[in-house]
Amino acid sequence: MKRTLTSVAFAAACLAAAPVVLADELKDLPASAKPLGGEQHNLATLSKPYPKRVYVLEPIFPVFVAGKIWVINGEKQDIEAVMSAGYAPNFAIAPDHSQLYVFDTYWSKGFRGTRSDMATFYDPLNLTIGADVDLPKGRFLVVPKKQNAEVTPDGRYLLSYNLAPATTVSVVDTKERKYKGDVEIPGCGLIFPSAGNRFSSVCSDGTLATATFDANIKATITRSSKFFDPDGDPVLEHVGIDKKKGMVYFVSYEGNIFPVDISKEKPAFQPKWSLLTDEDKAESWYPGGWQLIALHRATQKLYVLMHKGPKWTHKQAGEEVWVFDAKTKKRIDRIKLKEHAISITVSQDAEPYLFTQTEKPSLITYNLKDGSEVGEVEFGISPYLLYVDGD
Amino acid sequence: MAKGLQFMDRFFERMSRRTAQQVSRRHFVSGLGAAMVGATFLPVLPVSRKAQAAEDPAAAWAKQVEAQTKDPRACNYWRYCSSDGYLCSCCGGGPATCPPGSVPSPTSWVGSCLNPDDGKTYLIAYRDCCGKDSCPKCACLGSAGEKPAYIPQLNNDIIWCFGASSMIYHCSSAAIVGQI
Repeated sequence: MKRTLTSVAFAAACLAAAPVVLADELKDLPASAKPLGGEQHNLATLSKPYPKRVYVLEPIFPVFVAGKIWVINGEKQDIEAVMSAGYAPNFAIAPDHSQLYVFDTYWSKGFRGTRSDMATFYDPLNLTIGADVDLPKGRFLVVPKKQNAEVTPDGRYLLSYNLAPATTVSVVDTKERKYKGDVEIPGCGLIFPSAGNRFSSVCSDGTLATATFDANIKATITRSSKFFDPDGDPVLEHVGIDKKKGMVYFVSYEGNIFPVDISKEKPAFQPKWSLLTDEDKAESWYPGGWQLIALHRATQKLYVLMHKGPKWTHKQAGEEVWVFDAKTKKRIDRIKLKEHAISITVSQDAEPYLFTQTEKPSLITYNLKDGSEVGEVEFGISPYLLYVDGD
Repeated sequence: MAKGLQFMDRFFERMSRRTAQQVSRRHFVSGLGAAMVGATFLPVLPVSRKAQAAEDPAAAWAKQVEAQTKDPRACNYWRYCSSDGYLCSCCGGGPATCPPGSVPSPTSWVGSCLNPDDGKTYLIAYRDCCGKDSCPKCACLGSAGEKPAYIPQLNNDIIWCFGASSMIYHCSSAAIVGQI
């Protein structure tokens, strides 16, 4: 009984002391201790966005109900911050850098209970949460791919793909911070935003669907003619994309590039061309990995992760990055990677870096001026997707 | 929930039926798809593959990894040619058995793999076991004949827990459901 009373008294004392922890720290020091003035418990904020900051999305496969987004200083190869995320998350950056968006799914009891899906708005400097916008139709639960969640080029709407089982795109108004409705895109997937109220999606029959929606999210859908062969040579899900110009470069299993101009209401399909010469094919080179292609907008250079096949190894990590001029359709460089990589991206500044997510896992950075290694930083268990400001 | 499950069944059944019809027009196993419709499977890939035997991804994978039939805890176990994820065999279950406490998914996608012992190609239903967080053992990535997720019935990145009481992925199983 005496012990119980003591415990209660101790707990009461703790409760009373709880709100004034920092100021009272010195009071608890032994009398012999020499006070040094006390270091403040500070809180860091991120610097303004810059081209070589990399956001690395990690679905943590061994603990899949949790995810992370690592904020990496790509110049100094250092960790600037880590954001928490949920199950199979997605990520997007507002075009004006005013917000970061995480698309998430949680269950009320961790791995069970009530499911909730949401788009969460983060301040890009202090990473505080500004809003959770419920996605009542859910989200597509899949190993994360960039084009499953997007923001329109004007920053007005967030677009989140869903398959439950109807294929739809949930639309969130970033001004109202509110879910506005779903656009049905039967038989199609992925989101390529091309205007404030328009996006395109790839369809299983080899066509492109383009949805234009009004303020009430009533949509009209048009379907293109077939532009690739989904049976013989399907296009992969990650693309080289210039969201400002509305240009998408699809890459297929067999190494063909399908350039599509989506800047107008009707997509314009440019002739396909191959990444591979006859000699490359003889050596069994294939594109592969996860986020396997990147576009440097200003120079229209395409960067593609390549490995030696056989066929049907489209997720195999790449040993080289091949550089192509998208205008001349010629290969202009080959970069041998220090470590095989599953995902790549490039910074969009005038002196770009190539960021490679290795299987190790680590992020290895190369200077595209000469292909030299800038540095390496190790983090996470299964980082997967790379985003840069100005993506 | 039951209503939702029925809807899900109908959805995949429709996809299967359509697939089966397409298949039957082109190939010799016309009855195959129809026979599997009730089980919500999606048998398109194996048949079209078979038509291109020279490029059969199942055979190519079996050769590449030296597929075997003895150890279901190894990534080169013959049924895992298109499996992506943690093996249920390493988590208290088996190639066609969900571990204790998990929830077997009633939906799946169907690929085909070559059994190196008899040289025959079998239809494999890639069913996820759901309801618990990942069993992080024996991660394997097979991609023979696997397609992007805009062709969902042939994609192994999707959490195949549709119709289960939980959409949380635990591990991957690979059940034999037919033979080509």
